Parts: sequence; C-alpha cells; structure tokens
Amino acid sequence: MARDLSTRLGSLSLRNPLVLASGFIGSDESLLRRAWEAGFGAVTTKSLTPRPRKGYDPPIVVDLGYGYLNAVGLANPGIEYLPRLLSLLPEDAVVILSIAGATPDDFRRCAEIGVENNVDAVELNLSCPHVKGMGMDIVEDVGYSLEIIEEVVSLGRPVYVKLGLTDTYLELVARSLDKGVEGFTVMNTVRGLAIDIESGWPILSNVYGGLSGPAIHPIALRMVHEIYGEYRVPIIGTGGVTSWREAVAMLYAGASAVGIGSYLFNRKVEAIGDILKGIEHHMERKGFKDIASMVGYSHHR
Amino acid sequence: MERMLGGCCKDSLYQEAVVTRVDRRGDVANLYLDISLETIPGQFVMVWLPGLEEVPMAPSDDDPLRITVKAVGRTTRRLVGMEAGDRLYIRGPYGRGFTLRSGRPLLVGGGVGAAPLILLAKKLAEMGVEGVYVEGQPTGDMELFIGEALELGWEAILYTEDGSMGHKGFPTQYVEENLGGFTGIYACGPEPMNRAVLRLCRDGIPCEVSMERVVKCGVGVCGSCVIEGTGLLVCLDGPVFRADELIRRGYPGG
Repeated sequence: MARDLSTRLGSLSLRNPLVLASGFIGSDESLLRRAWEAGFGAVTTKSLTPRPRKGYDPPIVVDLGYGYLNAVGLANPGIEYLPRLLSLLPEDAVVILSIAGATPDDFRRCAEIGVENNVDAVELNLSCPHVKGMGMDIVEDVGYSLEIIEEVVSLGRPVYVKLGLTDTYLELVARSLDKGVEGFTVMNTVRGLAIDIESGWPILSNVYGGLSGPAIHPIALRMVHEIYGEYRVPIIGTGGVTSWREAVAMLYAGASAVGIGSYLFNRKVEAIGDILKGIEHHMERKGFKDIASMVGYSHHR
Repeated sequence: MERMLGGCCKDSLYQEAVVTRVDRRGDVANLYLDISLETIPGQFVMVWLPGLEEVPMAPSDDDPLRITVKAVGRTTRRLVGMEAGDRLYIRGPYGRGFTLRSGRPLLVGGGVGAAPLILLAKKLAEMGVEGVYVEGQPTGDMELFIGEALELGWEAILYTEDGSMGHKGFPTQYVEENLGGFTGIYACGPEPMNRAVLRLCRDGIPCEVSMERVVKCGVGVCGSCVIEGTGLLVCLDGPVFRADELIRRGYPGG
C-alpha cells in the first residue's frame, strides 16, 4: 500500500519531506524547474545576494570520497534575477528563497524582493564557510545575527535560519525563536582544506572550503537532535543525506524535512526518486502511517 | 580505494601528467602527455594548473592522453604556451560521451571541436567501422587531424573559411549535401555549427552533438554549464547530447 509522504514544515505543506538544499543547481530557472519536476517537496534557491557575484575560479569542488569540499564563492545572478528564476516553476511549487549578504540591510533588501515574488519562506544563509564577511563570521556573532533576523522576520514571511557548526548555535536558536523565526536549516558545510599531494597545492582556488556529504552527517544529525529535543521546532535536516537511510535518521532525530545536497554530486537530480521510494518502503515495513509520526521518533525511544 | 576517490584514479584525485610533445598551430596546441586514460570519446577531463584555473577538455587521444587546447583565457593561454617537461594535473573522465555505433557515420568537427571526433574516429575504426571525417577551420594552417583520419583509412575532408586549403566554406555544407549517404551524424564545434547540424538532422537521422559551456565544478552541482532553457547540464547530462533530446527539452534554434 502506498504511503502518504506529505509533511508539514512549520507553516508550509510539502508533498514529501525532501528539500533541494541551497547551492545546488538553484541559480537557473530551467534547472530549478527540473529539480521540482524530479519530485522535491520544496526547492531552495541558490543564495542570492543584493548584487550578482561571479564566485571563485575553478577548482571549486573536491571529491574526497567520504564527502566533498567546495568553495563556489556564493556565485549567483543577484536578487534582481529572482522573478526570472521562479518563472518556469508551476504555481504549486514550494520555494524557499535563500539569501546572503554582509549587512542587515542586504538581507532585508533581498527578503523584500522575495516577499514581492511570493516565495513561501526565506532562508538566511548566515553560515557560508568560504566567503569572508558573508558567512561564518556572521553566525559566530549571535548579536549581529539577531539584528539580521529581526530585519527579515519583520517582513512577515516564514524565516528559516541556516546554522553552521559553532559553539553558540543553541544560544542563537533560543534567541532567534524569541525574534519570531519559524525554524532552522541544520546545517551548513564545515570549513576545511584539501591539499593535492602530487603538486603540493591546496586544491580549491579559495584554499578553504566547506565540507559536506557523508563525513558531516553524524554532526548534522546530532545538532538536529539537540535542537528538536530542546525546542520542538520545524527543522530542515541537511548534511550528508545520501540515501533513504540518512533521510529516515534525520526525521527520527527531529527534522520535519530533509535537505538534499551532496547526493547530487555526479548524480542526476531525478535520482531523488530512489530516496523517496526508500522512505516509503521503510514506512511500510515499520508501520508508519505518515511522516509526522516519524518526526522526532528517536526522542520517544 | 578506487571508488573512494570519486571513481577516479590512483592515490589522489588528480593525476600528474608531464607534457612530452607540443604541436602548435597559431593559438591552438596539441599537448601530448605521458599518461593514458580510459575514456569514451566525447567525455571530458578537468585539467588543472595549480595557481591558475581548472578547465574542461575533451581528449583528442587517450593512449597516451592528448589534449587539444585553444587559447581563450589565461589558463588556456598558459596551456598553449607549454613546453615538453611542463606538468599539469588531470581528474576525470566525466560526463557522457558519443555512442559508438556501426554503420556509415559522418563526423563533423569545427575548430578545436574536432578533438573528441578524431578520438571517436579512432575508436570506430578499431571496431571496423569506416566513415567520413569532416573538419572545418578558419584557415588551412589551422588544420588539425585530417592526416590522422586518412591514416585510419577514412575519407577526410577539410573546409576552410578563407579557402586557403580544402574546400572554401563551412563543414555544415558537406552535411547538407551528403546527409543521405550516412547512418548517423556526430558533431562538435562552435554553437552556430552545432545548431546548423541539429537543424539538418531534424528529419530523423540519428545525430549526437557535443555542447560547450563553462564547466566549473564538473560534477553537476554548480549549474554554470546549464544549456539555457533546457535544464540540461553539459557536465552531467552531456557533453554529448542526442539531437532529439535537445530539441525536446526546448534547445533554442535546435
């Protein structure tokens, strides 16, 4: 018997829990349409900034085998591109606009254009690990993060804060909930380095990049578990979900939706169908009637 | 361990390759390397010059590996200026190559786009297939692989824009006049040439075209190599596409 995969993520209704994570094929309208058609429950745009950014020169990704290191440099067509970026999506597509910037004003401006274009939610990328002044330095400063959050929450759209691996993230969670954010995307990539031992050079043109993929899954899972355990808030659990198994674990840890990113390295986006089938099969096998009954399941064990 | 390293190579993601010979024609160079790589013609490798950039290249030979580079940016300029003994770093191959089919194929290459086609001709010839290789270049002194195609026992025809060698004009003229005599078309060249070939192949002759875009990540995630409007990525869905696939996905002008 087919299972209902639909889920609620805060105020959003998703046809299934898989969310295209920000940064992956989300800066072109035909690719975004393809991602939606591939079956995602929601698609997140690439982080858009007030002005277009070219990003870094290649190499911008490293395949480590156990994960990926990337430093794309927030390459994006700029927030003014948003109407065009959304132009090929059907009416019922659920869109999360990811935005990045250096100041509260940058974020506000981007979010305003998002609201004008009727995005379903705004994700604040406060934790990009490879662009100075537009990422980890923000999320590591709880006070500054809260200024940004306040600006965007005031626009009245559901706001998700994308967290990075910091010592203070639980404090940021608590205080941003007070400011009215709806939930969290957990987690961003973790700053790392790869060196080519043939040439001796750091591989990424930016030297440092963000680690994603299987290597960070247990960390992301732990953060989801901690936040859900403490606050029972909507979470998009993102980090090393490369099969239905990690997706199920994310739901069990407390995520209401599951972000898919590194799974798409060297894989066509249509392959997410395998993850959806795997989740469905698991639900049948374990007797779950819906996704909601799986969210936070490990907290009852 | 092989799988652990991105399906790639030996002890590291990149293989070091030493240039053994350089063969230059104006702003284009054939770089002969000291490594071999198993590839399907049309697939590409990422060529990295530490301190500069990493650029995608479809090899023109794989045993030993040979890349054919045109100077368009700072990294490719450096590559074209390389001498024997210089080093570069290779990962891959990536992407989807040409389908090797028997019959009587027509291979059409324009500029450095001829690179994967001469490798394709070589692989087809190894299967006992005999086809026609057509190459288009701006001038006669830019001719790249006509001699190699003849050595395979194939018919090889050169078109030059200035008429300084071979036929004057574009290789698409040959396609237009001789399409009926072939069982399949393979093309790789500048966008206008690819478009013209796609248009000529509308009537159903099997046709595969290798497309060029700016490939940055090479693994289908950054989106820089999207073929506008189609949702297709050159690095992951291509670089070789079937004509009907491009047309169905709304490739403009196809």
